[in-house]
Amino acid sequence: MSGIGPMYPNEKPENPYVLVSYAGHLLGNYSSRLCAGCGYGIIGHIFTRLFEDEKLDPKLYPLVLGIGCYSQMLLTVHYATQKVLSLHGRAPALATGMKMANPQMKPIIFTGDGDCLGIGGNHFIHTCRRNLDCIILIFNNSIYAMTGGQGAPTTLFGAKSTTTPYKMFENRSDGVKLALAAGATYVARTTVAHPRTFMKYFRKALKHKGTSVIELITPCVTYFGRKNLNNLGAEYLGLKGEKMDTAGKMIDWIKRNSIRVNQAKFMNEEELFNKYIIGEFRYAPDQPEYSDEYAKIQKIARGGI
Amino acid sequence: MRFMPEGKYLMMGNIAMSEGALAAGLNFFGGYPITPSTEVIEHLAARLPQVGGVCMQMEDELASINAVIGASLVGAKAMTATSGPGIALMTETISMAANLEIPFVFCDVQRNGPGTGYVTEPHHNDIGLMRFAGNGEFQVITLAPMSCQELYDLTIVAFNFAETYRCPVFIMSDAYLGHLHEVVKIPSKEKVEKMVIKREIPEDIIGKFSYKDESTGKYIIPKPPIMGTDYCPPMFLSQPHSLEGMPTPKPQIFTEMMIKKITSNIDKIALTDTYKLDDAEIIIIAYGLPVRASYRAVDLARKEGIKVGILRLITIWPFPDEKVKETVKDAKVVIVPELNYTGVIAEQVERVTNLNTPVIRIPNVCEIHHPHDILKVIKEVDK
Amino acid sequence: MTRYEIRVSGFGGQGVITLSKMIIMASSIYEGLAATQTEAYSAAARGGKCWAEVVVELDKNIELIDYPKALKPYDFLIVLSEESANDVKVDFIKDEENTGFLIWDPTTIKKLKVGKKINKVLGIPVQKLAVEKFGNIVFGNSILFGIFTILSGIFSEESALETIKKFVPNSTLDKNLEAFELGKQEAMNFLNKIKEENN
Repeated sequence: MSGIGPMYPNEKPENPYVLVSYAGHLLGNYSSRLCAGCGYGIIGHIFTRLFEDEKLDPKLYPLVLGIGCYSQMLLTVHYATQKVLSLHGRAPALATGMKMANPQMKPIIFTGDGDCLGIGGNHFIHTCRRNLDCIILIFNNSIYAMTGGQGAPTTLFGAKSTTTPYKMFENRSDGVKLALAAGATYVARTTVAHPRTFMKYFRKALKHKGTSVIELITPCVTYFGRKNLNNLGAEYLGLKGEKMDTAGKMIDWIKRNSIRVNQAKFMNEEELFNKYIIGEFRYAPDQPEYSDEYAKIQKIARGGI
Repeated sequence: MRFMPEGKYLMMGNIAMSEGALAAGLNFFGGYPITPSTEVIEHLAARLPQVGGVCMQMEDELASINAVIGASLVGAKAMTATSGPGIALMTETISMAANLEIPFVFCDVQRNGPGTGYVTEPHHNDIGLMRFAGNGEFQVITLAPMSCQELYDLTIVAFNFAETYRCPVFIMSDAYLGHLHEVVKIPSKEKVEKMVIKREIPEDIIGKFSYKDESTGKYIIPKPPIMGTDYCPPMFLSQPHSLEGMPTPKPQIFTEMMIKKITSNIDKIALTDTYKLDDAEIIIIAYGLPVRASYRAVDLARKEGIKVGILRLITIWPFPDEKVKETVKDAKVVIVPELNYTGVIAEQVERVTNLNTPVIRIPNVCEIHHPHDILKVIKEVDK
Repeated sequence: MTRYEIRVSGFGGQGVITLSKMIIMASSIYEGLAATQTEAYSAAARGGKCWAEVVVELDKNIELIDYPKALKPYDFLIVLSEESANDVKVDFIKDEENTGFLIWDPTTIKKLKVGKKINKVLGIPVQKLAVEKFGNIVFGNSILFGIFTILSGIFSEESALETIKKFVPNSTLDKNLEAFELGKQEAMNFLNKIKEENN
């Protein structure tokens, strides 16, 4: 990361939250290494904003990042956060160790679709199963963007990527359904096109004691948008022949392609094919939480009960 | 009750190791059951909650080692125990731990391989893995106990090494040693407490975690940082870090730093022991279980007037180059009995001696050396 | 250096491993001798060929046993199952004065093939006795431990009693001590018999 530098040296940040971002704090300016049109800027910004507004204690809310494009969000998140960049897919496991060694903590885990549903699928399932008190944010851009646009477990049917050059023909992995089946107690999905909703969900997750899984649909213009212009599978993606080579068009597509959970109830499988269902899927605040339960075990072991 | 009352106990090797870890201040154990190391997780699942610690059975080995590292980051003394297949899975994270300079202890109860192998047979076939586990270049410390008593004692030493040098420290056990029952003398609580280096924020530099010495600007090995306190670098990246804890544009400096922090302290790390070495012409270099047989073989050979002695390696990695070179310089021949076929340590001896001294291997796979095996070789080379 | 090699084999669950642990505890903790014990592990410990081995170093000056496995010929072999009895060969047992004992249990073993070729063989229906006299098969351990204490003589009776106290729950201590006495009696009778035969 030797090339860190201010993007616009003389421009004053318009947004008050830019200065509390890590890059803003270090360099006095907004800086990131994300592509034009990437959704991670929005997410990083919202995270920073919430962190500042909610006055979260950085000592209690450590940030655990997996490997993906979003690792670059290090620069856009709040400067005070204590950050660990973990290995590919292992962020939930690392957070489990942190949480259990210091139960006052509530780790916030940034993971991607390939990170969490691909290589780290097992850790994700078992963290949800334990109902460990943490927040898992899955950023789903339906592509392996950091390595250059390979197909992901979440790549939509018919979409093109460098490893599915003709079209994607595998079934798609659904992070929300997986989290529900595994036993996460707060499960929601939204998109970066709905930032207010994301803030609402994130605030709720901060107050929730248990595993919160929020999947965020985010655009990747560079590798997903540009690849899927007029390809074989375009008809499955609802593209109707238009191009997705700018952020606006992708955001527009995401909006069109996502259906609220209340609406989805009245739709059949065919209509929901390749669509993102957004909304809250489960909120069970009173489920036993792992570190609390372990504290009870410690009490029993000491002869307390 | 963290410390067992002083006294003599009959203990299985795996249990002795677990008790040693508890005495050293273990707070977090993350593991996955694998023969022959299962007794460790079984024992600690019962014992750790009693002392306010956490023992977690994770979903797989990858998760257990990552949880161990997470726990170590927030200030717990953490360890895991596994066997060959487990360590093979964990290598990626071991290299990350070395990179982040996270202290933790790793007990490898070795079993026969490759593949599933014979799960209850001792075979020192992970020695190379314990030195080179993971991508990247780094140095680790590996200790080789030979009895249940030493499993207890050396585990405490291992935790101290981990705290001091902030690197993964391996304890090289094996299927036979792990399941051996022997008497273990547990020292008094006061004695143990005096030995153990605690994980705490150093009082004099609160709030100023730094990898460099303020006055000289050179790299020092600071006490381990603790996340969730002010004594913590701005970020932990699984990338080479500079003295400020930021990503470094010059990885070579970092790599040098990582290797030198161990090699420059080799006098303190490389523990060795000698037996009847003063006038020895034939030298046995051994570690782990074969040392036991070697003692007896030397006694028997001395009775017949053969001048033979033992250099015992308690620390096998980093390999004590100077010590071995010094010891074998006048030797007629070096015998290295090992519980593996290749002779990993024999290779190291050959490297150190520049092939000037003949090195004779006694390779045994899944079969412990009998004193007479070694005596036979001693007699042969003495002719 | 005088090694005393002991092997116990039988079904998993007969107390093979417990007995071996009692032997090593009496000799190492209470008698202060160096000793090691190893046992069958995982699947083997539950099947018909469960075994445990103890090596005791009778020389008090030696603190570390150089070779922790028991070596053939054994000083003391106890077989409790048909499968393990079939494996026994004549050269498994030391043929020396005061040592080299083979104990087998007719309750579970129909016929010991090598029985006639070995000098000091004691066939005693331990499991049957345990059930008939004490009501539970677990007391067979204490009977065998009594036999071992007398025949081997590597640790004192006090050490043996201490070990029993450590191993069994208080509620069954009296019965276990009775069983131990029974074992002792059987062993003494056996020793007298051998003496007579020799004379």
